[in-house]
Amino acid sequence: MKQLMKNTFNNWAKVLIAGLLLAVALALGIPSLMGNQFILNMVIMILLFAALSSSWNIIGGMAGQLSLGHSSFFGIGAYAVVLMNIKLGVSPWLGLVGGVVLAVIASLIIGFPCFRLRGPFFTLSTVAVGEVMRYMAINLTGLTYGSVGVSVPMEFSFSNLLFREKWVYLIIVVIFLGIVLFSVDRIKKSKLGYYLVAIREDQDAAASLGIDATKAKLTSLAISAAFTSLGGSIYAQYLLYIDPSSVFSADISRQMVVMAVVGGLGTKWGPLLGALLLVPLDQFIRAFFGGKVHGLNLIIYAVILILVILTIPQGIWPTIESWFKKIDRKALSKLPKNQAQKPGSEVR
Amino acid sequence: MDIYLQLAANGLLIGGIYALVSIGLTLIYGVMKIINFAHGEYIMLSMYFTYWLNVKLGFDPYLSLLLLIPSMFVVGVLVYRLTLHPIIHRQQQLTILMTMGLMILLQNIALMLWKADVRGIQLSYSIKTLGLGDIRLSVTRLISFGVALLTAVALKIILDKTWIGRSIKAASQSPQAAKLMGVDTRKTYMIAFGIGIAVVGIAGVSLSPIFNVYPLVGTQFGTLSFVIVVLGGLGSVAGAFLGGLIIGLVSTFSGFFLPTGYTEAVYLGIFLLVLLFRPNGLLGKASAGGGK
Repeated sequence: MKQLMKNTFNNWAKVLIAGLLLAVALALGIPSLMGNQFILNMVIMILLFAALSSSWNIIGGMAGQLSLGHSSFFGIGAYAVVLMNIKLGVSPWLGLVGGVVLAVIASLIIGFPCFRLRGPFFTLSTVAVGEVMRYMAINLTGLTYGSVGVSVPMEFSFSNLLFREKWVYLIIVVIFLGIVLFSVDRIKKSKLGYYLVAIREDQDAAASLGIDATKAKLTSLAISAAFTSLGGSIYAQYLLYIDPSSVFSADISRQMVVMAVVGGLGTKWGPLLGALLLVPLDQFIRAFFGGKVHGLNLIIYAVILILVILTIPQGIWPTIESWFKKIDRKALSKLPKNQAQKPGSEVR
Repeated sequence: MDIYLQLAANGLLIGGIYALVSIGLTLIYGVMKIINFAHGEYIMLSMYFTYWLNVKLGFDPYLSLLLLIPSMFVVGVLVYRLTLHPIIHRQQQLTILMTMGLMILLQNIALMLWKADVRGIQLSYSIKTLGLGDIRLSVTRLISFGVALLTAVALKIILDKTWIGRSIKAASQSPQAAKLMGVDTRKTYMIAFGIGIAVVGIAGVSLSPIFNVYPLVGTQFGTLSFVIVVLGGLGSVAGAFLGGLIIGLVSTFSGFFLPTGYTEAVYLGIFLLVLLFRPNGLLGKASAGGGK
């Protein structure tokens, strides 16, 4: 029975991946046919935010530490790649690495004291850290050029990680998302992954079994921060302009959280599903209503978040998963008796 | 020397008003352990109510308290019943996410309805001041400070002397024990949330004659309230008053001596330091959630 359930579900996951590839292929095909930058841009944003939300999910979902300050790492990645390029003449490829190193250092500095706090106190401290980072980006004008923002120097070349054709960014974000999802999968199956689940369910019980909770949480925060920083760097190189109110905004943090929660907190595919649903919604509303109706996209975001929490708090992906398990059970009950397993061996 | 006295007086006055702004947040956390991330947005809503009552119907803002208190109470009860009641017994994370959703919702509804314009109430006594020796005190700030003190006293009386107040206190100390004593905790939570939001309504009214209102004003006062409440001890009303006065003084002095833009950085710094070194705040209970 376990085998059967796994099969249907894996098939379904394959369908999803195939669908995604189809979407990517369409995005590649349509612009070459019609030059549709809108769809291409949307697909890039979906995949970028899926990767960001998955990165957040490592600490927020898998470890259950609700961070609302991930814009700190996103902003560090964005500013590191641009400023190292402008001020030091470092290639953005190295800037990516620089951003990751800085974000990991920052995550340890932030995490070490903040992880002494629990639950809402941890969340509050992450909000404060995010705000402090934004103030620093605005006020340290010598370093960051303040609220005016910085533009990426427009020299298109491979070594500058800057491309005239948008589809190159599509390849970059596909690879990025692939790396993040692969890492999430590996973490989930590793010792660290099981530690995180134990900590999420009951930190004291986990500690009593000899799990070093602080170390496990710090490790997962560092991994999460590194990926979030990479996402910030890619965002900067793609949009060619950054300022504190965009890359250090609480909005960025919230988007990562909302997508993961709607899709399925702590699941591998949830954030991708969340991004697939929410990013197009956002883009279409902006495209159709433009400047006429302010805030409509975020109103719909909020309504979806509230409805999901009220009706399926575990998120959409796990809900679909349980439907498929039900279908499997039905299929199983139709099998001749001798083929069905004993009731005792039933999973769940 | 005069300038220091004047600054101290201004700081204490505004500190009292800040304390009023944060009482609702600490009360709701104290009773049902909900961190209301949408706190600032209820302040924003009541500031808009007060503004429209003044502009459209000519209500004096302080007079509109009579309408604001009951209507914000109803808003609080409804919001609690519809969004928080169904998830109150699940993980705390869900209530944080829910209030965050409400915050985004209310902010953007305000943005859609009233645009990003900054609006302010003009009163005949807006710029009047009273002299006290060499110190001059703004009349609107004095009235608002008075409202803050009255609210705190009224709240104390409600919590200590009335049946519902005592059930709220009982439910906050131990929901199980309260239930065993015949307290309907579901109803108590709903009313406590309503009272919390009503107090936020009073705060919004008191702020209206002093500060402008715009859709994102809630983030400004929301952050401020979190700083005050954590400083004083999450869940403690007396702590909120102490925290409010301290932050009032700090923001007034830093606003005078530091370049603009640094005031908020200063109190965010205080916020982080308190969270990291004394997460239970100055007057909070030891079990509030910090520590290893």
